[in-house]
Amino acid sequence: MAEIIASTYEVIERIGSGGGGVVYLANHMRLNKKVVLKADKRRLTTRPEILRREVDALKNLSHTYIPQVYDFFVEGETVYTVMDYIEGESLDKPLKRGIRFSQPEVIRWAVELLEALSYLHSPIHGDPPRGIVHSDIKPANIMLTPHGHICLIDFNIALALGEENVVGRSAGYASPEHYGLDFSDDTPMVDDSTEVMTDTEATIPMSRSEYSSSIKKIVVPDVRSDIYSLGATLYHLLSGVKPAKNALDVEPLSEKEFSPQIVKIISRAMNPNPNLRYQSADEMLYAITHLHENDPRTKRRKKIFVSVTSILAFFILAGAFTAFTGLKRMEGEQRALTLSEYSHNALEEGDPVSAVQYALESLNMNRNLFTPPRAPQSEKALADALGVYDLADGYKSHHVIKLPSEALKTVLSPNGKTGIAVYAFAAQIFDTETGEIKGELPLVKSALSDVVFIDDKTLVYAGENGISVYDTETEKNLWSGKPATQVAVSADKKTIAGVYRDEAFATLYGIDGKEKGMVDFAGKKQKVLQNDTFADPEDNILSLSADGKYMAVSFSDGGLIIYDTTNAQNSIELYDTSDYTHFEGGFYGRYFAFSSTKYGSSVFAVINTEELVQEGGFELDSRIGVKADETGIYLSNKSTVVKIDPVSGEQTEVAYSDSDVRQFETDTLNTFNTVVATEKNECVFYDKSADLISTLGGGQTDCSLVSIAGEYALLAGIDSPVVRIIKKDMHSDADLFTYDASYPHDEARISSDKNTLMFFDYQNVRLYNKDGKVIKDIKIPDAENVYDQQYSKKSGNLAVMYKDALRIYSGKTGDIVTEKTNLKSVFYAPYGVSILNNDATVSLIDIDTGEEILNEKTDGNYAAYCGMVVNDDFLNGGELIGASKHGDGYLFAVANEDICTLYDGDGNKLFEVPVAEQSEAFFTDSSVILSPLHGTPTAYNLSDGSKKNDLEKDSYLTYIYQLDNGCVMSEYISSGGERYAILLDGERYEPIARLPCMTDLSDGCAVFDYHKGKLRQTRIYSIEELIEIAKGGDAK
Amino acid sequence: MNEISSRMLFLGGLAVLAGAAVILILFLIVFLMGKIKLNMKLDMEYGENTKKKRNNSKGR
Repeated sequence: MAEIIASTYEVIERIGSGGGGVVYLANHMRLNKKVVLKADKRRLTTRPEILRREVDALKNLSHTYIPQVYDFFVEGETVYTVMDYIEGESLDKPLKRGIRFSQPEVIRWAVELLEALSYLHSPIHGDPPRGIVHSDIKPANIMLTPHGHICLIDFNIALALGEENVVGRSAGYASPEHYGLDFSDDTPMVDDSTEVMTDTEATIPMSRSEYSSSIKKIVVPDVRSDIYSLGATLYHLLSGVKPAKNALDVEPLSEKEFSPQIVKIISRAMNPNPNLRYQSADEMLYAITHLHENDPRTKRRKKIFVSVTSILAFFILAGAFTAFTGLKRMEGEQRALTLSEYSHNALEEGDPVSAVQYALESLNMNRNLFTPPRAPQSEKALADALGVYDLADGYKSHHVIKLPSEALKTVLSPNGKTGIAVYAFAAQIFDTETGEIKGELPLVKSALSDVVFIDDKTLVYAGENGISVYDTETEKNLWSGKPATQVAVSADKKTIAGVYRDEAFATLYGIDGKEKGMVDFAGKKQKVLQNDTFADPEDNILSLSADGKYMAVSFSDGGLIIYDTTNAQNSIELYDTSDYTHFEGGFYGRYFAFSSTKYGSSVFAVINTEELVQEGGFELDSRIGVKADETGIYLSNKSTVVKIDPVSGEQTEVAYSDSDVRQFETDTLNTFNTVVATEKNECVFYDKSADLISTLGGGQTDCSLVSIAGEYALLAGIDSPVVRIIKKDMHSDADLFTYDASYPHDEARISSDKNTLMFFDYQNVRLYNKDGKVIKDIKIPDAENVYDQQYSKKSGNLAVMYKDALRIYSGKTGDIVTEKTNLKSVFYAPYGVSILNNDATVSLIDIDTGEEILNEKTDGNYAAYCGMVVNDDFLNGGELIGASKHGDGYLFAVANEDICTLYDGDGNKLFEVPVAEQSEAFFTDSSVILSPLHGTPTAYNLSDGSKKNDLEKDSYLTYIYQLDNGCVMSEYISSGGERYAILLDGERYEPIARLPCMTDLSDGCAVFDYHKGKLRQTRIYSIEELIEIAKGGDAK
Repeated sequence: MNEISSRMLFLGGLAVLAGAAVILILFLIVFLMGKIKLNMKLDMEYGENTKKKRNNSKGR
């Protein structure tokens, strides 16, 4: 019969025994549940309250890996504890059978055990604050369930609670503290009298020398002791070998057999010094649960990953940044090119101020990493916009006024300082110097609306409230009268006449605005278009004589009448009616000059208003333009403008253009300069001697509205809202040298010492000294056979080369320095002229001295010295097209059909490049430029023959200079015969400035020859200097 | 840096970026494959449940 304990538990079998008692498997009779009864037969010396505490501590434990305690009772002398029955077997059994467990398995159990220990050790489980210490962890106290999990059983709670004389040390698994040994090195040494808690069974014989750090004091096992025991248990489970009892004798596990991390964890857990173990189960649990992460291989991989991805991320970022920078720069370059185009266009349209602004924007002052290098096009745009290299006197674009709509009329004050531009339907007043708009006057809504200056500050206009006089300084209307569109002012400024559209009368006013009277046209009307809003036929005359006595009016019926404003009976009827459709004219003193036009043919006549006779006239089959004022009568016909004497009919040329005159005006109050708008859409300026001053293109504007006064002119077209203010630009401050302008020449050169100047072409040479005195005039003999001329700045000498002769003229005296004739060939290089003599010797002649510096024997009909004698044999049908010194050596170029070969002075071939017919080779330090007679010159790198850039198209390259700042000056003759130079940047050979009429470089300055008797010079500006000039607002 | 054309900068930068990105992708592929292999090896050595701490019921 089964034993019944406490009337509740039926003992099934005895399942174990140990130092603490016997363990039974029993059945809870009421619950019909298997339980474990642990019978503890130790002598109960514990006071009841201690037992209670033990029970309380145990019953509150609830953990997956710890058996639940259900009950506690005393029967007889035995204390029974009732707890969960854990199926399975304790781990010591398979160990005893020799089974070895796998590392993963042991690790898994270690995790479970540590979780259980962490729970146990937690301070919430009561007093003492360190929680519950198991104190007897060993394989025998670890159950392995059928599911492969563990359960930690058999707590030595009594030991944990500090009971005395408790035996619970399992050899090999018990920590040194269980034996009262303390290997911690931070506890003070105590003397031998300190009691050691030992047990006879567990006594470990040791001497002080063996445990150098052993301290004899009372030590109590704590959580770290459990750590040690767990470590020892794991040691046994892994290795199958129980660890040594003596902690100091424990052999570490083999890192070859087990993972080094696991070995380290177990070794640390089993450190004799508790301070060096894991200080808590959580800490050890952390180590165990982070084996993957802390594995050296994982760490190494992580390091590799971090370093490789860091490096690659760096390259990705660097690449992205570099690409971004490149992209921003490309955008910047494109923007710069676009802005430089805008600048060019603005300049073409006559707006230099905007051109400078665009050019500055194109140069991008805010330079940073993303800003591209300054484009040569931007530099050129600024140089061109500033006009720093345009030293020709003339009328040049100064400002641009942009009107709200197309211009109808333009007017300048007599001094030229105030301008008026009429559009629909207002007049804009502006300062011609600054371009500033000073005001706006509302006009009658008609294209006929007139504005006429009375004097420099007062004007009369066809205001919307009537004819008005306005003071431009006070910006106030002085008076207003009746409505008017057409307006006339007498030269004495005392009478103003106004006609409103096609009304049949004119109203006369005094300068003070008082009405002086009316002139009745007896029903006649001036020619006004049906819709006069947008078009003025410009076919009418409304003109007052100088004293206001007479008023000439033309009419739509072809009538032309001169009215006596004081006496209507005295009117002069020139035509009552006619089939003339267009009238022009005005008063010059007592004379009235006019032209009447029909079907393209015109009649011109001059009427003496005092004597009422026609003084003269003529008829032409082309339109005659007439302007008259107190200075004279001016006619235009076809391409000529003349001033005509009203009595003698004598004509003095005022302007002669190369195309028909559409419109003209003469500044009769100041300069007597004339501006002519031609059929070719150009505006041409002439001085009072009818000499051409300058020409401006109209651009896209139909340039037909012209005005000129003082230093200024206005150009506009009825198809454009843009009015260009033109200003006369003089550069006499840049004068370098004055010469006889009538002397014909192609080139003007200055010697490097600046003592002499030579003006020459293929026929004549004139030598001046620096004071302007002619040293010598030379007629070049046999000029038609001259094929080249070369000037040497060093000596001022001029070498004149023929096919079979050479003459060198002195730059000091003009005398011949050297003359060689009857030669087989002549070749020029900057270092000397090579001549092949008839005695089969080739000589090199120094241009500066005229002396022979070399003489060598050779064969053939052609030879030149280029570091070696280059003769027919070498050339082999090719042509020597250029040579130069290069460092200490020479370079020369030979063209053969379409290939040009570069050689060094020893005849070694350097490279080949394509070449066109009849080319010439020029050299700089780094490039060779091949310039064909017809075609575009091309620059190639001397280093490898790679193409650098094409140079100016459609012009003939005459010379190349290399400047000290690395830039290259290229000189050209245009197809129109104009000489100019292009300054190139030394790297890319892109144009950075255009220098029209440049003739020479002297001392870093460009010298210009406008063939008007003056040489002018200006220095070559750096881009920084140009920017400073631009910012200073000095556009010219 | 000014002597290098903008186009070269852009293309060069793109080339470096693309090259580094390609290498990074290849590296990640190789690395991931290696990681999978190592994880399998570590799983064999340490078992799977070391990677996570299991939640356990706690008592009162």
